[in-house]
Amino acid sequence: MEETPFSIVGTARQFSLAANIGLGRLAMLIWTALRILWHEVFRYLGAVFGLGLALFLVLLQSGFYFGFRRDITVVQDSFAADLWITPKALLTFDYAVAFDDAAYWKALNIPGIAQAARVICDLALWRIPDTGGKESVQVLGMDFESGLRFDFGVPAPNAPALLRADGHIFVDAADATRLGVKQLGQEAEIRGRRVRVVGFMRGKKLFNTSCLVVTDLNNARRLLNVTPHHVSFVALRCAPGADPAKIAERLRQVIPEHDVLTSRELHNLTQHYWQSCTGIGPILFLSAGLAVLVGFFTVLLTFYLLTIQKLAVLAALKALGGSTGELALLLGTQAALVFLAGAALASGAVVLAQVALTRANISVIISAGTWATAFGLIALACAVACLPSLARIRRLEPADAFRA
Amino acid sequence: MNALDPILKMEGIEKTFAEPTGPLRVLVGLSLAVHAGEVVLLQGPSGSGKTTLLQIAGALLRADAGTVHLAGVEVNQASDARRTVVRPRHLGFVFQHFHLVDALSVRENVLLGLRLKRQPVEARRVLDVLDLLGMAGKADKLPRDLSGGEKQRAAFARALAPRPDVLLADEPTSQLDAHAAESLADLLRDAVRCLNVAALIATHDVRLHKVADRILTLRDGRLHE
Repeated sequence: MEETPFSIVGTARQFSLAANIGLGRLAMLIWTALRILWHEVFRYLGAVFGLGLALFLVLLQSGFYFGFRRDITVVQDSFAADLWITPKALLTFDYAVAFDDAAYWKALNIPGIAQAARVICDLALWRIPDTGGKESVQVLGMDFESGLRFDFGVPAPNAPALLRADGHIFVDAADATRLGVKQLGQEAEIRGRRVRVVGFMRGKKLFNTSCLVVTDLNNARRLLNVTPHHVSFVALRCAPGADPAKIAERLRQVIPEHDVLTSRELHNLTQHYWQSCTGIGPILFLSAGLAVLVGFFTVLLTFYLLTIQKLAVLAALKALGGSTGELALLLGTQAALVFLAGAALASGAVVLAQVALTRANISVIISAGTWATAFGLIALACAVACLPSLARIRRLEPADAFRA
Repeated sequence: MNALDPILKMEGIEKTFAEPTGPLRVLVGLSLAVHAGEVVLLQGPSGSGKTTLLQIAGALLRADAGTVHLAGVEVNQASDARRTVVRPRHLGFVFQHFHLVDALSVRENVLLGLRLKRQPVEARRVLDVLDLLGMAGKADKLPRDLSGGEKQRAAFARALAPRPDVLLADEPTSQLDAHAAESLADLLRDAVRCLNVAALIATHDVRLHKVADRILTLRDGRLHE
């Protein structure tokens, strides 16, 4: 009867000893991986920089791409509109030809439409006040009285009233220097007409290098010499609970001479047009892909060469009792540390580059999802790049220690 | 297993390698027994099969025929998994080129050896073995800071710390100068006796003769006293 507690204690001791040995072995292997990495730090630096460069380029290229995407449709996406009446067979938001605003009046009579705003949009030249130089601007005018919201990037509850006055405009704060605007109230000229900057917007950078100028509908008509009663678009906001698809269908019957698009359709149309015209998406993704390959091959070559150089020692460790799994853990720990060092390097560089590029008014958008995807992609490339080394370790026989 | 039984017993060992020129018989019905605390030197010309014999004794290579008993356990016919378990439990290896982990100190190399053999790590035990091999004062040195003789003593310490039943060494003094080889030989004899290990050492080095209990010559696939 007395043996039972004794054997339980004995078993527990044995289990505890085994657990200690197991944990100790794990800790020793990780320690060994760290020591090897530190001991041969200059050999591993190539892999760290290769991975870091790959991650840096993937993040930055993705950031440029998403920044470019945002900039392509930044104007139309600023409208709180559900539907758009556009010229027939429109190629892109930026190429709208003004049409008679009769469609606007017809739309107002369609049930389910809560707000309808006439919009004018076209390019013009801006004369810089001090130098007399010219800059390209995209003038956007809308009738703010409609109540349809436009996002200026800053709170601007008094914008409709401010912009109603003759020649009053908003420009993006980031464009102020380029346009020669030093302060609010500054005057300049668009197509020979005097304008006064009465507010600054934020985050309205255009992809086509022009600067955005927002004003009231009538101001825009004057600045752009648009025929009275003509508009580029009509932006529509549906009443709560109304089905935009059904309203769009009804509008198509009422105004068959125009296209009626949902905001998503107009967004996609513009995105598709500019991305296919410029080829920017494939170019950026191709260079990001090449960056992944750079990281992949750097890690592959570094780890494979270092594994080959250490084959005899690794075989000796196998002869001493090390399993393939334990040697793989050794390599895996080193690869993980190289990845973490490369990732830290790249993260720091990307943050610095993002600050510098944002200051230079270049759009770089790197979301949490982009960070996670890029990290996952490079980690995967790093893991795959280690496979040949792992395969070599797996094939390694303890007897190989005698051959070196 | 009786205390007087050999700790390593090989009987009727046959090994033939397929060479481009035809089959090459390396070991021909070879038998060998080594007892605990005994140092057996294995000599013979290059290519005579000394390393092959060590590999078979170390359960690293299978003989085509015959049996190999390590501490009473037959390993030649055993499964790979069984051999993988038996090898670290009963054997210690020392290689011609040391094969120490360059990034680890002498002490850490010995600790790694113990860990890989799934043995509890006792600082006293590690120090005792290092002391036995005259390496206690160099325990925290990296291999790059050691002479060839010291590296080989560290490799012996790594092999002996887990208290193996059988120590297998392949040309352990081939990289050492005369003084280092003499010094290693003396230390090795003391260590083997003290730890009661059976040592089978393949060597060309006559300087090791003084530590041997038996010297066997491998010729034409057979052992000769």
